[in-house]
Amino acid sequence: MSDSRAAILARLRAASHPAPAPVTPYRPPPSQDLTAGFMARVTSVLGTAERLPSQAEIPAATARYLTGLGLPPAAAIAAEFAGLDWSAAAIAALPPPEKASVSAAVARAPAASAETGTLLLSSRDPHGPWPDLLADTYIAILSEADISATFEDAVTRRAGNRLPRSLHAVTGPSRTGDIEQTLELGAHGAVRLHVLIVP
Amino acid sequence: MPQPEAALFVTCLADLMRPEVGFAAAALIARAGFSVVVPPQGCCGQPNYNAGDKEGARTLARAAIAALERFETVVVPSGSCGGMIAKHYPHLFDADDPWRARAEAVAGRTLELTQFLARHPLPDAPKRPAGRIAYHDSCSARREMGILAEPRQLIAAHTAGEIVEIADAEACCGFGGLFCVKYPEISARMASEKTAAIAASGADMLVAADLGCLLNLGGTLQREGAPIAVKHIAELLAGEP
Amino acid sequence: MTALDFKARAHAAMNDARLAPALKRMKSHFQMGRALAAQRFPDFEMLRDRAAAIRRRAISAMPDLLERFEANATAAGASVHWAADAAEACAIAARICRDNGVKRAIKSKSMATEEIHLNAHLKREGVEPVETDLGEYIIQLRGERPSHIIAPAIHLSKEDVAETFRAAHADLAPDRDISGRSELVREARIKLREAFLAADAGITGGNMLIAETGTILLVSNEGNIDLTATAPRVHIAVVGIDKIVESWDDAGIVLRVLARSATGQDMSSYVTCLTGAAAQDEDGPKQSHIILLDNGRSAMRASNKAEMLACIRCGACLNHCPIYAATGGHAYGGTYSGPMGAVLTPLFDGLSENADLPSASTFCGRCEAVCPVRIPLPMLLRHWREDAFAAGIPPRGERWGLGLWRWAGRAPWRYRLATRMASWGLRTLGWLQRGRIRRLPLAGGNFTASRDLTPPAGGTFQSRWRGER
Repeated sequence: MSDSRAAILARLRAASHPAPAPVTPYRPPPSQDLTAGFMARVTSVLGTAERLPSQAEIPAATARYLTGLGLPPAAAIAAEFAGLDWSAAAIAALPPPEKASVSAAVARAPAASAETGTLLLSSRDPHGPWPDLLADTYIAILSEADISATFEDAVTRRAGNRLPRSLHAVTGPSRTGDIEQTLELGAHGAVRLHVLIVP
Repeated sequence: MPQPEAALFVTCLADLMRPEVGFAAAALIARAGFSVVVPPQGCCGQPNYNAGDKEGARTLARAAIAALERFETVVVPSGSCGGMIAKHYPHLFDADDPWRARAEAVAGRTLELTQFLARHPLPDAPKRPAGRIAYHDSCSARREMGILAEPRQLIAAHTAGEIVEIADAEACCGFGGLFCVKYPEISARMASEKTAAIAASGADMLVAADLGCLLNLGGTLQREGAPIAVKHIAELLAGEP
Repeated sequence: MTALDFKARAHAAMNDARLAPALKRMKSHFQMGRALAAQRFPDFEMLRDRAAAIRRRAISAMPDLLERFEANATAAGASVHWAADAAEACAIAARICRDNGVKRAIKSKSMATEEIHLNAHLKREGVEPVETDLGEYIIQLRGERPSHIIAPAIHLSKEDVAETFRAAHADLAPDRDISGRSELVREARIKLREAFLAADAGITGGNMLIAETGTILLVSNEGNIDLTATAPRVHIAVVGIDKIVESWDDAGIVLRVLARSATGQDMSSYVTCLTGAAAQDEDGPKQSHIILLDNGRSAMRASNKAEMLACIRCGACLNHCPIYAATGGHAYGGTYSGPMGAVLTPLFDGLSENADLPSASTFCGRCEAVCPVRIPLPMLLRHWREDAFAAGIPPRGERWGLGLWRWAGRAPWRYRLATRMASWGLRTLGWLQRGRIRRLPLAGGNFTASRDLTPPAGGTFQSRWRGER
């Protein structure tokens, strides 16, 4: 094994190629309103988003979203939001999302990028990436302050001193065009993605 | 003041298959105010170059360079052969080969016919009716030489024809030199898709600036029995001989 | 590997009545998607320039960057392995499975693992790998190879897929309706969800290796990569050494051209970034293995095809290639198809068996015109043709013809004599066939197989020009 390492590196070092000048990182045109930009982009990739005046509105918004689509009024609620008044909204609050399939999950998306309407989950989140990967419907709670301009900025803010083992940048619901080139949502990850943006 | 000279590099296909394209090109160059010279010439070497015979291509390129290098302007009624000289000739020779500089010199002075006419405009003349014209860009003209507006502007300026665009205009017609003989089935499929798009455009005439595309598409249209005339842009602009 | 040659495979594909409409749909779908995405972006050409420079910087600094990647990935808890060729990469993967008691593995679509035929090897070792990209899963159930780099099942209809699921999913109730696309997607989701949650190991490829942090970056639209790389207890990534980039900023630019060029999306639905192994309090595999695959890449880097290493496998060259549009991917006979396959397959599987691939191109240049990292694909194909010609691979008739043409062209009188004789011959044929030639002799017959040829209307231009002056 180490023989191959040495041999590969030796072969690579035996040939030299000129290097073009370093490239400046990409910056999108500055945006006045990252939240509006995020919402427009997430809608363009077949997700949905709405702004809530306060965190207390989350259960009612969840109920409106689920019943509006004729989905069962039940969801796995992240520990952080378990204390909200779910019974008032007639939502059956299931235990927090974990590594198991569930019809709907409500959990925080700790970072996002406005440029492409992308949420950034990680293995260091309280419930990992499971709310998006294993729920049919992911209702993401996003604080306005957590929206960055770009993917790179979101990663930098999320990483801190050490990158999590896995970062999951999610842009809209899961999709596939593998059968007859026709778009179908919900191949493996969330079939529906709804973002509740809170102050 | 004596007229400037321009060499006409007529291309093998015009030389052999469609001499009238050569005469039309010569007439246009003359109308643009140049004295036309046709130096004794052979092939530009592209068939060999494209088949991997780089040494053969070099041999033919040296002969063409020697024939053309005394002219300030070289005009080629083909994007394909024009691109070979203007874009590929310098790459045939190593940097320390004395032919490299000679190749670069000729390359820098070589223009495809519509490029030449865009720089050296034809005098105004009454516009002849020309019907609905589908203009087909050869891949070499479009992507290698970057020619897109020139032929359309020339047709609009000098004929009363209406230009209709062909759907999926960027697609290759399937000629490809030896390609059409080596891979006839694929070539025929590409050609028939192009002729279908031409027919769908409602054109009654197909015009292009490359005889390879025209022999391919014209021959396919003829075999299909499509009532669409086929002309090289030199013939269209020069008028009936 | 395949008994038929390219022409025979192309012939079979072109006579497959279901393939042509699928390819046509693919072509317009992907071409329009890319064009619109490029248009939406403020300055896509600038982005391509930067991506092209980033990839060439990576080729230039490849050995140093790979060592940096290795050091950073190792520090984050991953195990980095180096594989010189396909056999070594397969052996390493099999050993990891053996050491960890892996019986069931799930896989996300990976061209590198296709290239080394990892699935067949693992099966022989008693590991059952299940593909999880929907298209790749369908292909695996059917025992086929992918026909398109990002849409592997492009050649199949929903009826084909339904039939495949009926045959493979034993517990699928006979009265359950799977005639629609969404029902088929749902059926695969249910089946594969079980596989994800039961698997011991997840096997992925990698779209980029980010040297500055030792991170593997992957893209998907289905979310299957995220599940493959995080649900099982062991993760194995097989990644070509060409996938190296220096920094996150570089990766960000490549990401922006990748999705736009591939599917016309601004961003792939899922971008998965894996750094090391999971900590004790962290979700995900505690064991992470990265197999860095050479398999001819370091040799390619030393050749005149080095620029191919800049490829980010977006598939835009396939989507815009008229040859691919006519024949589909299987005709190419290798892991990769289209222009990228025509450059790569002779490298992986030998030039003499695959000389048709670089030869079957009109050099129309559309691949280069859309390549997000500006790889001069026609030039690379030309280099293969030069190698083939030097090795005497083209048929004797072609080589003789080219030699004769070169000999004639060396002296103007010989060229003039040859063209005058040809002109006379064509005019005679035209006279014999009443004005238009429907059948040319010899190789010319291939031209007239589908076209007429109007003979010249007189002697050659040069003889007439001089005669008239």
